[in-house]
Formats: sequence, structure tokens, C-alpha cells
Amino acid sequence: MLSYILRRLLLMIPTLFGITLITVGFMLAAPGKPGAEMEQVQTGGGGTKLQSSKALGKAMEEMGFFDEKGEKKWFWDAWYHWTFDKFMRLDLGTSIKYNRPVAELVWDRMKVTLLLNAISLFLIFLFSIPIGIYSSTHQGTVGDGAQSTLLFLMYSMPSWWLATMLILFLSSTIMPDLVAGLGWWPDAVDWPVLPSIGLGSEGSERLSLIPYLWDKAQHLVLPITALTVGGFAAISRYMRSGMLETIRQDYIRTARAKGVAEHDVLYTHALRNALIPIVTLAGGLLPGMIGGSIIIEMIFTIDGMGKLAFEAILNRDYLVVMANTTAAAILTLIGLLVTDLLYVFVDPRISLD
Amino acid sequence: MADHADKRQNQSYWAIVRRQFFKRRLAVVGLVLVIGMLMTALLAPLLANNKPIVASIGGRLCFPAFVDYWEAFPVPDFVRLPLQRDVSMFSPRYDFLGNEEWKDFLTGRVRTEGELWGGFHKGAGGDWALMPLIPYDFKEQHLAQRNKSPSDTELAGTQHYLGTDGSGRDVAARMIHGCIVAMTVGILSVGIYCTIGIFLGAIAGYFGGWVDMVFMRVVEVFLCFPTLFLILAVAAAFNAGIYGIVILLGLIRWTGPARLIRGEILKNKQSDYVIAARALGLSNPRVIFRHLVPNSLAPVLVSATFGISTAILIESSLSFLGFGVKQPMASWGEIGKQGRELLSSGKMYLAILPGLATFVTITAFNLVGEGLRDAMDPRLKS
Repeated sequence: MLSYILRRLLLMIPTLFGITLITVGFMLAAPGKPGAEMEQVQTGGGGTKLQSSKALGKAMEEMGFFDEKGEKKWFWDAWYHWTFDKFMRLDLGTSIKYNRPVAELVWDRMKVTLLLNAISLFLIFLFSIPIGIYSSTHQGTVGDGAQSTLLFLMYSMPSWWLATMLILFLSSTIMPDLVAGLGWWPDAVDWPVLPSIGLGSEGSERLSLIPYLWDKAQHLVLPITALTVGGFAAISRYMRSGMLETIRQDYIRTARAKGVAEHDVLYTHALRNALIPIVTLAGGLLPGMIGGSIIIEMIFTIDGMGKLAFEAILNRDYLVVMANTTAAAILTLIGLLVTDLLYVFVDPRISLD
Repeated sequence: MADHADKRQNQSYWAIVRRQFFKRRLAVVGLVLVIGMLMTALLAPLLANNKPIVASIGGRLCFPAFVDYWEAFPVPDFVRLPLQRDVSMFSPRYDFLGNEEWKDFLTGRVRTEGELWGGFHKGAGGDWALMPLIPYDFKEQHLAQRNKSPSDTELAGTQHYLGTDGSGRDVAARMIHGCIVAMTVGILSVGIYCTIGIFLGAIAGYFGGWVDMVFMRVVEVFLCFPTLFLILAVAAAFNAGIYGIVILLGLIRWTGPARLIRGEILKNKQSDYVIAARALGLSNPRVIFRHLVPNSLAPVLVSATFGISTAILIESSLSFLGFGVKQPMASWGEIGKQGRELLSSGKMYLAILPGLATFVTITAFNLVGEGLRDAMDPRLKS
């Protein structure tokens, strides 16, 4: 097991190299420089020309993507510098835009994205496993049909639209007005209007623990819903077909024939076998979820990795882009590794060595 | 009876797939929707345009909407210009009037007062014009009429069915023209990446060894890359536009079909027909692309159908974030973005409709994909 993990970790290195190569490539190929704040300098001839300020020039040189004249370096030089003089020495440099150490900045944002994705992943499995079980016991019923139709629709739903709809109906006065019009909601209690901006109200960090968590939870509802629906539908659909396929296997019939209780047939025999492919799917879901959280973070103005990547690219904050992309890739790689390890726990027949 | 069974046995693989596909009602619904969307995209300039489809002026027929028909499509100039010239050969000179000139031209001939409306106009002296149902172009701006809802009194007498957007353009026309972008991005990018994927995957699967190992490493790099992350980054950095998005999706998403075709070829390359082909002395490229690939295409076809909906989703997301197609090209994501910004103004339809259109399109392609996958399932063949 340990040698397997070590081998996998070693295999990550070429993959990471590949990812950094692509990132350096497109960052250098993109037009523009970080000199958003160029200043006008008087030249000898009396005219003026645009030149980046001294501080910016120095910062740009420290970045390692530019030579002393402020010109872009060759692809290979820039990549070599970033990989071996920065990344390998665990010194990711300073962000031009935020004026903070890149590592600290990315770590701050990563926590937010991880929180969102972890909750979302947890909810996906929490809900999709019962749905798979329900389908296998109620195949062909109206409930099963309705549920699989609903899942299909959720699967096809653009997340940006879902997020907009959530904001439209749950974060505005439309629903409260409607509810008040219907008259079945007690007047004394306000219909909850969920916040749609950020992950906490202004000044919420000064609150004591319980109100703080309550505030946080309220802010999380909409983004988490928007982030979860797509993956939930995908996994549930696989879970459903997996359970239906497993339940038709010979060993299930054998178990029933020898008189195993239906409960045990479902949970011990069928579910555990149907779960095996689902675990790998979770690994495949990870890159999509990290990518998908960009849209969610942008719509709900959440300061996570996605939004950071976005801002960094627009400001040509090269070091942040590099660190952020590499961090996302490492997260994904670790996720895939954990999935493969989980595989062994779910299915004892599989041995990694 | 036996005759009937024989007939079934002799059916080709694709005939069986077709029969299985059309047995599924939802798949057929999806197919009809997809064809409807494609037709809407192709006919968009006839559904929403500010020039007549056909007009008769002074006894001569002209077809103004056809003259710059292809301008609404993202086709490169070297394709568009010859097409346009061909149309000009049989069109009288009225066709070449500009948009505003057209309106003036029609005044007094077929138009009495006010705006042009959709449908048939009859004027003095036997002149007539047939206007599209939505008598507005997707890029025609009326700056005085920005952000109007259809019920606005200032718009009374016009036919802005869905009101106007932030630049005073007709939203209904832009919704229709959004179809063009969705279909182009979906089909073109999938075409590109399937071609790349089939080529690379087939070579890796057939030759194996170090070729395959290098290939799998590269595939892993792309697998671990959050695709949307990369696409968004590049689109934002390069201000890519529609070609950019198509090419980007084509260059990034080829790993899916490549892995599928590699697997199929690994499975098929020891088959008798391949050994026979090689024994006949056929060259490697011929064995791969004339014998192996055509026999391994089925799973790629299914994944391509799902791929189209993913591509449409990615394009609309990019446009929603403001990094998709360039103005004035219409995209559902871009209309949705405006709807999102105007949420509080009570124009709900602006937030609901473009997303709904995307949603229906994606659902339609997914239905077709599901139908195809089920139809190709070998377990159902018996």
C-alpha cells in the first residue's frame, strides 16, 4: 500500500510539470502585462511616453516572467524560473494586485473553495445513495419515473441559470409577496429571504459562535444548492442504474433464495457492490466541481479560488495564476489518489500492489 | 415467420440502432427538438430581421433579407463573401440599401406610419413587402429605447415581444439569434475535438508501448486540469470570441473520445478482421482508419452527443460571465447576464427565458444521447 502511494505521488510530478507548462504557456501568450498602473514619464525629447513605475518594474522582475527591460522572457526560461527557483523552493512570491504573499493568499481562498466543495460532495452522497436504493425497490412505479425525470432535468440544468433562479425566487421579495398573498404563512414570522452575496454579513466575524454559524449557514444555502444540483443528479443517475444492474445479478437471487432478509439483501449485498463504481465517479467529479465553483463564486461574490483565478488572470498577476492553478491541480490529483485508495476499502477484492 | 426472422438477422448494425432509437419516445422528442433548434439557427435571419423577406417594388421582386443572410452567422469572410456575391447576382439594386435606408425606402411605398411590423405590408401601386415575424435585427440598436419591457407605453405600437436590452436591441431577435451561437459552438467544437481525439486515441491504442504511455500521461494532465478553469482563464486572457471558444474546447476536450477509441481499439485489434487486413499487407494507417476506427466509433458517437450539450453549457457560462462571444453577436448566456443584473427591476423574463432556452437545448441533446446509448447497448440487440 505504502509503495503504491509513493509511486502515485511520484507519478504526479510529470503531470504537475505538464500543467505548469500549459499555464506558463498561455499566460505568456496572452497579450498584456501586469502594468495596469502605468505612469507617464517625461522623455529627453520633451514628449511623454508610457513606462511602468519603478516599483512595478522591480516587482515584475522579481516575478521571473520578465527580464530587466520589462520584456517577456522566453517560455522555457520563465517556466524554469518559476518551477525551480520559486515552486521547488516553496517561495511563491508576492502578488502584485493584492500585495500579499501568494501562498498565504491562495491558502485563504482555497479554504473557502474546499469548504464549499466538501459540503457539496457530502450532500451529493447523502442524497444520491437513498435515491439509488429507492429506485431498486420501486422500479417502474410512478415515484421512480417522476424521480428519474426530475434527475434528468436537474442534470441538464445550467448552473448559472439555476443560481439566477435561486436568487430571483429565494433572495428577493417575490416569494414573500406571493406567500403573503396566499395567506397561509403566519404574519408574525417573516418568510426567510436568503442572502445572495458573500459568505457572511458585514461584521459577522465579531458575532459569537452560534449567531456566526447561523449567519454563515444562511449565506451558504444558495451557493451550495447551485453547486450541488448538477453533481447530485449525475451521481444519482449512476447510483440508480448501478443499483438496478446489481439487483439483477445472480448472487442477489442466490441471497434471496437462501432466505436472507430483504433488508440485508439490499444493504449488505446490493448496495456495497453498487457503490464501487460510484466511488471512482466521485474522483471524476472533482475537477468539474473545482471548475464549476468558479461560476458559483462569481455569481455569489464568494472569495474562493475560482474568483481569485479570474481576478488574477484579468490583472495578469502571473504568480497568483501559477500558484492557484497548481494548487487546483494538486487538489484534484490528491482527490483522485484518495478515490483510488477508497476503492480498496470499498472492494476488498482489489489490491493495489 | 421464419422469413421475418431472417430479415431481422440480415439487418445492418446501424439499422438495428435506428430501429431501437425510434422506439424510444423521449429520444424522438429530443431529436425533434434538436432539429427544431438547428432549423431556428439556420433560419434565424428570416425569423428576426429588419428587412423584408420578399418585397415587390415597382413590379420587381427583391429579397433583401437574403443579401446579408450570412452576416448573422459566425462564418469567416472568405466563405461569406462569395456566398453574398452569388445572391447579389439575381437581386435588384434595392436589396443593397442599408437598414435605415430600407425603412425610409419603404415609407410611402408599403408603410404608412410608425414602425415596420412583422407580417405582410401592402402599399400603394401594388407594392408589397413580407416582413419577418420579429421585425428587428439582433444588432440594431435604439439607444432611446434601452431596457424597455414589452408593456412599456413608449413601446406601444412596436413589436418588441420581449422588450429591449441595455443597448436598445430587441431581446426576442437576440434570443432567436442566440440559437446560432449555441449550435455553432456545440457542433463545431465537438467536431474538432472528436477528430483530434479519434486520431490520437487510435494511434495510441494501435501501436501501444511507449506511444501509449506518453499518450496516457498527456491525457492525465488534461484530466486533472479543471477544464472550465482553463477555458475561462484562456478566454479571459485572450478575449477569445466565438472562434476562440470553439478552438479552445476543441483543443482541451479531445481526451474523452481519445480514451474511448483507444479502449475500443485495444479490444478490437486482435479481431480476425484486423489480422486478416494485416495479413493482406495493408499499411498501418489503412488498417487503423479504414478498418479499426469505423468499427470502434459507436461509443464516440454517444459521447459526442453529450459533448455538444456540455459545449453549449460552457459557452453559455462563459458568456454569462462576460467572456464569451463578442458583441454584437447574441448569446443566451449574455442575455442571461443582463437578466441577472436587472433582477431587481422586475423584468423576470429576462432572467428566466435565456436560461430556459439553454436548458431545453441541453436537455434535447442529452435525450438524443441517452436514446443513442440505449439503442447501441449490445444487451438489447437480441
